[in-house]
Amino acid sequence: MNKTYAGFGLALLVQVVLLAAIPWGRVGDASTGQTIWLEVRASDRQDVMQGPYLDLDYEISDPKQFAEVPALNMGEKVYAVVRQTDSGVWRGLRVEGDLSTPLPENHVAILGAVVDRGLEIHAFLHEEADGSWTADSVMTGREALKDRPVHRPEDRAVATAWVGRGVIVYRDIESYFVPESRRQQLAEDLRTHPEEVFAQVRVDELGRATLLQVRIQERVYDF
Amino acid sequence: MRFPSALKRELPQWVGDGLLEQSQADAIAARYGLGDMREGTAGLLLPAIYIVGACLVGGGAISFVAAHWDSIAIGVRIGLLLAVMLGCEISGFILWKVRGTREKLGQALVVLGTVVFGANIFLIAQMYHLHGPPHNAFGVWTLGALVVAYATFSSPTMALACVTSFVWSTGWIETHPHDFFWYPIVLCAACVPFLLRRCAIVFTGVAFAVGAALSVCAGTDSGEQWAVFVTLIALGALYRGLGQWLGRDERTAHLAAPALRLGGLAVLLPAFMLSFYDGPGKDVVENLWLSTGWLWTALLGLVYVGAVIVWVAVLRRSSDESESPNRPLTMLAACVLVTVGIAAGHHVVLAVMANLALVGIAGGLLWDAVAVGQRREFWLGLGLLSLVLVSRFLEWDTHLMVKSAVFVLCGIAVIVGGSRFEKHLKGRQL
Repeated sequence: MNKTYAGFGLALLVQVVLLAAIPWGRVGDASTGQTIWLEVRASDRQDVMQGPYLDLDYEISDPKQFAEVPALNMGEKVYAVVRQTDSGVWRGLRVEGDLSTPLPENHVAILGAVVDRGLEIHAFLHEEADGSWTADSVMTGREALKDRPVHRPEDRAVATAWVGRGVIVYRDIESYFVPESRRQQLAEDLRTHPEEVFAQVRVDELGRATLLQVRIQERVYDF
Repeated sequence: MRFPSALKRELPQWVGDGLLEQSQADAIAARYGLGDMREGTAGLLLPAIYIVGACLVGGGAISFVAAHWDSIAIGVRIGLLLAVMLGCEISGFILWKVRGTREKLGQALVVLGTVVFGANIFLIAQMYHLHGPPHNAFGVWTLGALVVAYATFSSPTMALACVTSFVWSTGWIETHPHDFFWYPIVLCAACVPFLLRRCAIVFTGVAFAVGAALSVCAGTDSGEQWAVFVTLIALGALYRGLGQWLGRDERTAHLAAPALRLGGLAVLLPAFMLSFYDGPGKDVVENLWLSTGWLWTALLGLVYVGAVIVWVAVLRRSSDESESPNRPLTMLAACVLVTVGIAAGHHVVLAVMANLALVGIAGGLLWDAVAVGQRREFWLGLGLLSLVLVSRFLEWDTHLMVKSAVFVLCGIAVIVGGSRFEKHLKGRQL
């Protein structure tokens, strides 16, 4: 019987350790890391298991935002070096493969990974009198189809293609869960100020980032 | 109420009324296997009810905390979640293993604790704004469920681990589409202690998880539909054979039903999909024998070897008189027909083979129903036959009058066939 008790106690201990491992290293001391503000594009999403959240697409996810970018391989770990601008927002400077060189005081390196987030390209076409097709406009992303009618006249069509697009993801800081009670207000703020969304993150000396709060224009969301 | 259940309830009363001696009642109970009835039916049903109930309560817990009660500090929230989880598991363990007074309730509480553990993974991640691929959370959930299942020997918890590990495996397959898929082998090995004790719920969980994961793996590794259909049919053959084989031994007879049902599903579903002339069969044969990866065929080979072994064992042993004689063979023939249809590489041949397979299965069911006097099999067979006929006539662009005549004839055939069968059954009972 004692063996059964010990086995059960051990099983419970394993479960508690597994749960403790989830946020491990994320509750860092403010003195050990640098707190910075980054510009993001946010969209309101819903997760079946975890409820409503903001999907944060960082400006520094796009390799084009950096002046110096080495050849990026999918799945590779990279460091995005950012520096503080006059507005207080930190912007991308260069991408490095490792942290071998020490950084100046107002520079911070954030650890990320290169992934392929294929880009949808939609060409909105119409048929000419001679039977040929011409593109009226070309838009990217799934959102482009959002307000377009599904049933179109016979002389209208949409051609869609996917192209590979390497982006840098920062997995631990890309979601911000929102309480049900503040969701409405947050959605309204996002609608009126979509270009003024900023995320505050703390970055430790190894480049690991922790999301602290989100600011939309002047309103701060801190849960 | 079924005859054995009614008999089990009546026997003590007959002994009490002096209609039977205890020795005679024991002999009757032994003849109808009434002693094992609880293990075979209620033994499987109760844990199933508990696990469904526990999952619903766990789902409620997830939604409750997912509402994100931000007015409570994170530390207090985590404390509450841990208290609920440990409270369920410890109280269940005491009731089941320490006091031994409420075994089923204790088991249910242990399962509920494991479900709450899974909910806690998502909720703690939510508190720290972590939102990784969902299958990672299911991987952690599987580890937590496994340790509790082993520590308490709780078969519903092990079945839960099978389900959570299957969800994890689908994510793993997606990120490693062309790596060797070791999950089915590891899962079977992990379940060996439970399978040796002939736990029906664990057996069902393993069979489902392994079968479903193998089919997903075949589709992802190959990138083609034909691989999925071939794998499903092979699994169907394996499970049907396994079901027949297990059903012949009293000690494993309660495992036969889940194997037969899963096997039936794995054969009927693809056969029905492929029976359409203008359906998925066209895509299946279009890129036949093309595959971006071939590692899935190693596991398919194991399934074929297993299927051959069990079917040889089934066919070599003389069958029991009470066993349905034709149905197993028609199922096996259906598997061969659909596989040959796929291999033929022409969608018309495939549709014909799939239709023949479905009609053969329905015929086998009807034949056995009349020969052995099984009502359920009769209506299953008739239902399947009607489904095939109706599907074909809805699919084909024939004259409306022809369709009308066929539907009327089908209806009359069902009514006449059904009444004649019921009369036949009555005659047998008299």
